[in-house]
Order: sequence, then structure tokens, then C-alpha cells
Amino acid sequence: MLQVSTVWLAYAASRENVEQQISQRLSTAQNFFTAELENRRQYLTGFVQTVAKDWGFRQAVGSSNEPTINSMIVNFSSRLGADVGFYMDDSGALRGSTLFLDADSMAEVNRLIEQAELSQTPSDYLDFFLSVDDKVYQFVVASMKAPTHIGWVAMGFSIDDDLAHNFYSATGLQTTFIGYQNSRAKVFATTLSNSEISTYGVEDAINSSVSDALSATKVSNISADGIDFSSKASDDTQIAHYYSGKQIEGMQSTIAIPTGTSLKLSVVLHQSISEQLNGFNQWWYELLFLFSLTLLFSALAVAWIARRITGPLRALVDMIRQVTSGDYQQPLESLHKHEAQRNEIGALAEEFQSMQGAVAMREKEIRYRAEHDVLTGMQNRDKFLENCRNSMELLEPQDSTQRFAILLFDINHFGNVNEALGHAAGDQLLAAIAGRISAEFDSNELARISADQFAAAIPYDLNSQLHDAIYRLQQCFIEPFQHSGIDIVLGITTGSARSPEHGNDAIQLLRHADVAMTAAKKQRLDHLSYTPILDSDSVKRLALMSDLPAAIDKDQLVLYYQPTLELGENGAHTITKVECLVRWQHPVYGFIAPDDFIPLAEQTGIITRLTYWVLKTAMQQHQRWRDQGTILDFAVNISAVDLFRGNLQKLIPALLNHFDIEAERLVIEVTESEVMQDPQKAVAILTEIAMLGVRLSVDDYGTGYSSLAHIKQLPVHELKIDKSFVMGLPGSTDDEIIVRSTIDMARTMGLVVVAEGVESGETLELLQQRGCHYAQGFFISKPLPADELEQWVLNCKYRLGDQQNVA
Amino acid sequence: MAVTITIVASQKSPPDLSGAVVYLTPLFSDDSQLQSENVSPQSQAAPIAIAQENRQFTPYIQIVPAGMAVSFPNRDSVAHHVYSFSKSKSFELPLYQPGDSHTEVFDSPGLVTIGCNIHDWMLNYLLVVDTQYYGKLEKNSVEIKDLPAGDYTMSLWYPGLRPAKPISQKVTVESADQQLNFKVKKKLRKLRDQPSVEISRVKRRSKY
Repeated sequence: MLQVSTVWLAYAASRENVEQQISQRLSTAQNFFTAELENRRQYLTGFVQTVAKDWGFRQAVGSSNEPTINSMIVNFSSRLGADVGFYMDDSGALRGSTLFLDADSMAEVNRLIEQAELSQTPSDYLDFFLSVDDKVYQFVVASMKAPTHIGWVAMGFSIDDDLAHNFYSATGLQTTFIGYQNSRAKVFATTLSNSEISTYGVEDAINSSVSDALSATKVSNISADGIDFSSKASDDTQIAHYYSGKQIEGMQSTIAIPTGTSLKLSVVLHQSISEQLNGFNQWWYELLFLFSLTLLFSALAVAWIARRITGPLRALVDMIRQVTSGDYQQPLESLHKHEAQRNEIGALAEEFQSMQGAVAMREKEIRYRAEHDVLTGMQNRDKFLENCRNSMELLEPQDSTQRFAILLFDINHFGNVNEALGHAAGDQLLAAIAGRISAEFDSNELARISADQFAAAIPYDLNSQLHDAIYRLQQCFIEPFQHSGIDIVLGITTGSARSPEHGNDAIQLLRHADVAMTAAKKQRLDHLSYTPILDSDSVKRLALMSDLPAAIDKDQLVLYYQPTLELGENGAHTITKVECLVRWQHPVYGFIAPDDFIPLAEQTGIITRLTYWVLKTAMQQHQRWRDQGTILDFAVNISAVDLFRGNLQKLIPALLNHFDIEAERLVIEVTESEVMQDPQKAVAILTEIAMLGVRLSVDDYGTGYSSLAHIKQLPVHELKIDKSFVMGLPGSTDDEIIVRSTIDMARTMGLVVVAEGVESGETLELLQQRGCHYAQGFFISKPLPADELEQWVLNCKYRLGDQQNVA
Repeated sequence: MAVTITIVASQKSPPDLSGAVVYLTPLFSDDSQLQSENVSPQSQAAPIAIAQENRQFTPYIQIVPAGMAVSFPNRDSVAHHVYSFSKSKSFELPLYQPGDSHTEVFDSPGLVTIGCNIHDWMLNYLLVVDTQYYGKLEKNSVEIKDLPAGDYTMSLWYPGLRPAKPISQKVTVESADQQLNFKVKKKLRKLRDQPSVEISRVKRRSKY
């Protein structure tokens, strides 16, 4: 075996060696070849220089003596050693030549000359390869000056068999020049005989030259410096094997020669491998025969031993390996055929077979226990988190519609049940609960997290789907549970956390859901969805929440009014509108910022009552001012909860009617992100409200992610640029751009623009110049209670908008 | 008393054409007054020279009335071989030594391109014109003296002009001290510099 492979390796190595040598030689030859063509070009450049500056030739050309010109060209060509030469006057007419140039060749030359004359850096020299009368020549053309340009002198070398033989003797490589012109490929010069041309695969090269030419679209340009052989040749060069039948016969390298004309020229350099290997092959056959004999004997001996022992043992070892890697489905048949006479190895195999089955079963059980809760058969916490991770990874982060939530819930007062009925009953109940919810949800989405805590993983697109899941969960607990003939009514408290808003990590989401659930329990609510404020300082805030309904009733809430200016020319601004902002004066905690209680109010649903209070109070105030002769439009902020769960579309007209206020006086402010929670529904409700005549304003514009496309769908009347952009004005270039473009865009859409957060006179002036309609901010006035606002109006420098209408 | 002609180009920043020639050819050559002054142009001007200095022709551009003799003094320390194969005048001053001078008479109007067979870059443009009213531009304007009132063809020529023939237009001279604008509508190219030995040397990039 060893010997055979040694021989084979030696053969392969020598073959590889030969190939490497040839490959090396081909690359070297390419360099040699390009250098040789460059040398020839430099010779020719010298020749044409000599001719163009020869006084005798100048005189002959100056005197336009054509026979003299012709004979001088012939004379120069032979004196200098060029194969061909010609002179062409400035009009493009041939005045003397050693060869016949047909109309096509003349046109080609004239085209090149014209191209060179028009070039940015006109050159006195041109070089190119031209096919004339079935031969190819390398030409250099020089401008003839006497003393200014009067014509062109050309000298050329032919690309012929002599040149090919030169290359052959210098490199040892067979050399063939292939040209392609007028849809025809032709061998112009070669060191090969006609029969060799076909064996050497030159025909393939011709064919590929034809296809290259057909696919090539660009014609190599001649630069002022002539053709750059070095760079172009290496780019277009490939070394390839060529074949005779299936046998690799040799290697060849095809070099494309940039010609500068419509002629496509390549040179194929080839070297036979078989020639190089011939001597080696003979020796190799002899060795191969000897080693084949040795191999045959060894093989017979090995086969005999293998049949007896090695075979069955190896099969067994293979089986054990498979089992080790976790595959317990190994059949025994492969062993049986080896031990027909039932020897010790056979017995071992039988034992092994039964062990394999036992291990497989135990492993299955262990895995199940590791991932499941034994009592309920549901997934356990670890498996649940792993599943959550997997589904969260599947969500496309760019797609804001794809979301994921964890719903965590526990059984209210389950401890009491355990105490009263015993733990066995508690376990039975838990199993029954698991049964009900498993029937409602996919078992992969569910898990028992701890004693009486369960969780569901909900991938969803719309908030309503999440709400639907909570609803379905609660439905599972409407029917009482049975134990020993008694009905037991169980309730649950749920908490939810959503990805990506509340975290992108399953453990964090679960923890946040727990925070929400605990908060819900404290507030005796059925459900809470996580918000960051639940996490920190939650006790005080939860206490606040229970105080809020009372605060609404006991008038602890106060409505503040922040004036909005309608911007006029030269500082003639008018007060036409106020934004109504709620403030809470708590008897114990004092003043509480809206940011501290509005989100909680939204969470708990109290917000709808709060909004009702704000709308009612604002309208009362409007009515009071109107009676005093002042009409101010008023803006009220509406939350998403109002929008989706409230009854605004009925409430607003009822209130307006009650206070006898025109709908046009009321502006409803919603934020982009609120609308985005369910754009379709938002558009429907807002459209209904807008139909009343109520104006709609998009608040905090610029901070959300929504696009104009969404805003366009809304029956929106104005945009409020978020104060974070306005406060930087003037000064921040970015903010200026955002504000300016928002104003421009809004104006084009026919929208009114309000800038919030105006804190300086400069900002106000800038906004007015940019065409902003309204402004609001501390520079004008902070939000004020109604009586203070009345004072402010009396003392401020602005006009009051609608006063005269009433008076 | 003289007429000042200023080139007014339509392009934003016209090239500096200092050295370019401007000449006015009377439209009616049978006009008696003009005839009388056209009789012997040689009599009124000093002999004109195109010298060879520092292996360049000085001046680079020269304008002379037809029939004028021009001398070619060699003020260099090397020999020159001045020649021209131009249609209007073909001549050759075979190899002559420093200090030598030869004179040629230029009878027919037209452009004579003069070179040196020893120094290929040397180049001179001699414009032979059919009038005695001519001048060379100095910062795109030229003063032409003793120009009688009448109708003329006014022409401008310099190396680098494309096409190479002079730009001409009709003009009426009303008084002897007039300011004339030579308005050119097409884009004026740069006046091509006189070649020197440095730029004439063939520059080739080394490729290996």
C-alpha cells in the first residue's frame, strides 16, 4: 500500500512540478513578449524620428515631388531595417509607401490620426497594429514638421513567422499570432505546422478569440503615450490547460495585444506537458506492475483476518460511536452476518443492543423533565425563555408591525385555596387550569413559571391581538373549577411586557411582566401593562393612582392655560388660542407633574375620566370668558386610550352642545405615536370628530417615527413642532433645517404650523420670518391658571384676537 | 494722430493676445489717396529683421507689407539653417555661421512659416500683407498711425487661431484719432506660445 502510494505521489508530484515549470515559463514569456514588442516600438519611434527630421526628406516633401518621396521612403525603410513605411500628407493622402494600403486601412489610419489630433494632449507619435493585405504590422507614426506640421511618416515591422520563431528560440514556447478582423479569425504567424495547429488546440484559441471579439465592445484607445503593453497585457492574459480528448496535453497562455485599431490581436504561447513527461511515464508503468503484484498478496491475507475478527469488532465499535453521539437507532443486522456461528462477539452485540434502547429511553425522559413541569406537563421557565428568545430572533427589527409580548399571570389568593383544601387539591386545580389554558393557546406559547404563575408568549401585529389574548385568558376562568363536588371560582391577575418597547431580551421581558403583574395586584386591577415608572418608586405612584379618581371629584385638579400667539408682521402678534394643561395639587404630596400621573392614568384607564374632566372644565372656562367678551380657541390633549377605548366621537359633540360652543373653537391634540398604535382605527375616529368641525393638531411633531404618508391620511389641520427642535433656534443648524423644512412642507400641504418651546424673542422673530403661523412658549407665557391668564392678557403687549367680534 | 483698435471679445475672460497681428486693408485700392501712399512701402520703414537668438526666432510673430525685404541675422554662437516650404515663399539659407545675416524679399501676401533644420523646435510666423496699416497687439489693443479715413477690411491673426485663417470684418474709419472696437463673436483661443527646446523634447514615460 505504502509503496503504491509513494509511486503515485512521485508521479503526481513530478507532473505537478512539470506543470508549475511550464506555468512559470509561460508567465516569464509573457513579460519577455511584452518587453519585446515595446522594444520594437521604440526602434520604430527612432526610425520615424530620423525620417521626419531628415533635411533631404523635408525638401522632397516641401517641393511635393512624389516620386522622390516614394523612393526616399523605400530607401529609408531598407536603410533602417523597417519592414514597411509610408508618408501621408496633412490632407490624409498617401504620398509615398512601400506597401499598398487599401481604402479600409487608410480610413483606419486617418481615424487614429484624427483621434490623436483631437486628444487633450496631442502627441507627435502614434503606435498601433494594423492588418494590411492579410498581414499584420506594428506601426509607429510621427508628425512631420517643416517647421509646423505638414504630414505623417510611418515605419513598421511585420508580425510574421520570423518573429514567432524568434520568440520560440528565446523562450522554448510554441508561438502563434491570431488576428481577428471583419468577423474572421486568422493565424498570421506561427511556429507550428498546419497539423500541429489543430493538435495544439490553437483552433480553440481562434474560436475564443472570435467570441472575445464579438463580446468586446470597447476598442483600445491610444493614449498620448502610445499603447501601454505592460498593464493591458497582464489584465487580458490567462493560462489554461488544453486538452486532446480527455487527456491534458499541455498548457497555453493567451495574451491579448492591444492594437489601437479594429484588429483584435492575440498571441498564444503553448507548451506540451506530455513531451516533458514522456520519459517519466515508462519508468512509472514498470513500478506500477511490481507493486500491483505485492498489493494482491497483501490484500488476500488481510481479507482472511478481517472475516474472522476485525470485521465484527469494527462494526461494534462503529455502533458504539454512533450511540455516543446520541443516535440510538443502530440496527443489529450488520453484526449478525459476521457471527453466524453465535460466538462471544455475537453475545456482546445482543447485550449492547438492549443497552442502547434503555439509554435512549432514559435520555428522552431526562430531556422532557428538564424542559417541562411534571405536574401540568407544560413547558417550564427555562424552556419558555428559550422559545421566547427563538421567536424574538425571528422578528424583523425593521418591521414595526411585528411585535412580541409576554403575558404573565397568577391565580388570585391561591395560597388560601392550598390552605383550605390541601396541597393535593391545589395541585389538581393547577393541572385543571393548565388543561383549560392549554386548550385555548398553543402549548409552545405557554409555560408554568412557578407555583401558581403561568406565562404566555404572544407574537402579534396589532395591540388588539394582545388585548384579545388577555380576554381569552380571562375567559378560561369564568367557569368555576370543580373539586370534590364544590365549585371553586378562581380569578387571575395579568401583567404584560412588550418587545421591543420594554426590552429585547426574554428574561428582561419576563421580569417586566412580573413588575406589571405585581403592580396590578397592588392596585387590585385585572391587568397592567409594563411602563418604566412601575419599576421605580412605584409605591408612591401607585398610591397616587388610587387618589386620582377622588382628586377629579374633589377638584384637586386645576386647568392651566398657555397662550398661543398668532404671528403677524413686525411683531404685531395676536392671542387667539390657549392650550389647556391639567395640574394636580395633591393635599399630601403637593404639586404633581403631569408626566408623573398621566402615563399611570393611561395605564389604569382613569385617563378617560380625566379627559372628560379637562374637556368639561375647558369649555366652562371658554363659556365664562366668552360671556366677558373674550373668545379664545382652546386646545385639549387626547391620549391613545381616549382615542381607542373612550367614546370621544359622542362625548365631544354632546359637551359642545351643552355649553353652546362652536366646534371650530376646539382643537384636539394627538401625538403621532398615539395614532400609530392602530392607524386605521385612529383615522376613523379622528375623521368622525373632524366632521363636527373640531380642528385636529398633531402634537410633538418630529419626535415620532411616522411618515407624512400617515399624516396625510389624517383629517389634520395643524402641526405642532416639538419644542426640542424649537428651543435650539437660532443657532443649531440641524434644528433650523428641520423647522424650516417642516414649515415649508406643512404650508404646501395647507396645514397650520405651531411652534412650541419658544424661549427667546430671537426665536420668535426667526419663526415669524420662516412663515410659522403660531408660537407658544415660556418667552410668551408659561401655562397660567384662568385668573392669572386674565391679568396677563391685560398687561401683555399682544393684541387679543377675537374680542372685536364679540363687542 | 492715430487710430486705436481694441479687441472686444464676447467671452468672459478673453486670452491675452499680446503679439497677435492686426492689419487693415483698404476696401477700394483704386482710391487715389490710398494709392499714393501705397506706392513704396519700403521707403518709409526701417529694414525688418527676424533674428536668431538663444536658438529662437526673435520676434516669434512678424508682419510685413508685401515687397518688403527681411534680414535673418544670426546672433547665436551656433550655426543655423533657416528654411520655409510655405506656398507664398519657399526659401532656404543653408548652414550659415554666427554673425552672418541673409536677406530675403517677400513679394506675395500670405503666411510664411519659417523653421531651422538644425533646431527643429525653432518657429517663426511671418505674415506678408497687402497693406501698410498694421500693428501688433499690446494687451489686446494696438495703435495704428497715419490711417486715412475710409473703408477697410480689418483682420486679426495669431498662431493658435482656429480655423487658422485671419478673423476679418469691415470697418469705416471716419477720423484720424478714432477709437475702434474689434468685436469678436466667436470664442478666442489662447495665442500658442513660441516653442522652446524644453517643450519640444519628446517626453516619454518609462514603462519597465
